[in-house]
Amino acid sequence: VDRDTILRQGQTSVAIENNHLILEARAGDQAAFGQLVAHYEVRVQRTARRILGDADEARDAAQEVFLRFYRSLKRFDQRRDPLPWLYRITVNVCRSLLRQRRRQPLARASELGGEGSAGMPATAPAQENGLVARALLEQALERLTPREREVVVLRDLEGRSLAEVARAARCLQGTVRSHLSRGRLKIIRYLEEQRGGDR
Amino acid sequence: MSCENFQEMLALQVSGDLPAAQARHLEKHLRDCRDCRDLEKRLRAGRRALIGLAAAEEAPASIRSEVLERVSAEPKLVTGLLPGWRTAGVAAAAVLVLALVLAQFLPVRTPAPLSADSAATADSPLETAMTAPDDAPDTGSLPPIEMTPPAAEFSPAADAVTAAVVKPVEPATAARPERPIVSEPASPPPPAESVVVKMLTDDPDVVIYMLVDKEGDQENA
Repeated sequence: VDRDTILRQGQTSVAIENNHLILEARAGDQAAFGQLVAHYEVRVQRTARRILGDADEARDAAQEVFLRFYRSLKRFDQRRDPLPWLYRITVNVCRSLLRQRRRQPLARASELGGEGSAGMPATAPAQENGLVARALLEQALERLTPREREVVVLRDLEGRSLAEVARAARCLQGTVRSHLSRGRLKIIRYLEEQRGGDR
Repeated sequence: MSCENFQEMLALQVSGDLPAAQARHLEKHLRDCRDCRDLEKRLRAGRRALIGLAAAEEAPASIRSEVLERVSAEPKLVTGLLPGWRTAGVAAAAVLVLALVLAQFLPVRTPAPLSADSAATADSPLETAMTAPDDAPDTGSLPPIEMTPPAAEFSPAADAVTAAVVKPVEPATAARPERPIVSEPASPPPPAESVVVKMLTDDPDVVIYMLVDKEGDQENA
């Protein structure tokens, strides 16, 4: 049983438990909706942050995602797992924000990764290596096109299946495969360039 | 095919996202190509690093209070079905009930009276129950029939009638009145068999039960 299967099974069982929260939220119980937010907010914020490359913007985006989710509650089938729906809204909101910006996300590895390679505190070598590796990965992700970044984030970081990624990104699975393979190859090449340059 | 053509395949193969036919093709190439085997290892390491990146990330600060503040400014959600949909749902249920009842009462015109054999070879038990003349012999107990609606995706799954479950019940013992357009049965008619039709609507408070026997005598609605 691989990681993705475990993730999906766990999330599905939690989704079943959340069914009653959706019903209560739909009936006007804001505390129930608050519990739903608490359950999914980390994944929504993390995904938005990776796609947008900006923690503050991601926070605003996540709020918008949950507001749209709330508005759609009355027509949402409570028997379904809300997570794919939330990913889909997240991708839509992020695309809107990127269009508004009309620019690619800036490389903000130091912000995203906590402490990047610059301004790193004194740490043990292993931890230092880990932080540098994380910072490089952050930079590599930010050099992808928005579409490539969406699918890499959803497939590799969030562990969604190819079909789920296609639904969230509203495209065919073949298109997801193209973006995914190009994105992964770009990441590997970038990491190798950086390591080669350091030597 | 050059190694460059296999690189995109490799990038998908590391997560099992490559279609099977291409995966077999790639497998053959990997046996003979050391560079591609090396790239595969690096791609796997890169993917592991990305997965680790998500796991190592600190949880962002909660946005729950901000969301709830914005939600409280929203107009209240309409619970259940919208009025129009509710009306449509009830209307659809009423039409279904009417169709079931009429199907029992309307005369069935056939070139020749159905024989016991022809009734018994109907495609489905439901079809037998709906179309066989009153004197058709009992073809056995009617098995439960479930009519499940197609799953909807992220949409109101069932705005009107969502399911109808037909269950067999004990046969009625009362004598049935004679009906026109039937031939005399070869043997005395079997006891009537009734079914309970339960119709669920999207509104959990609205459930319609109806008891109908095969001859169309609606006993309760």
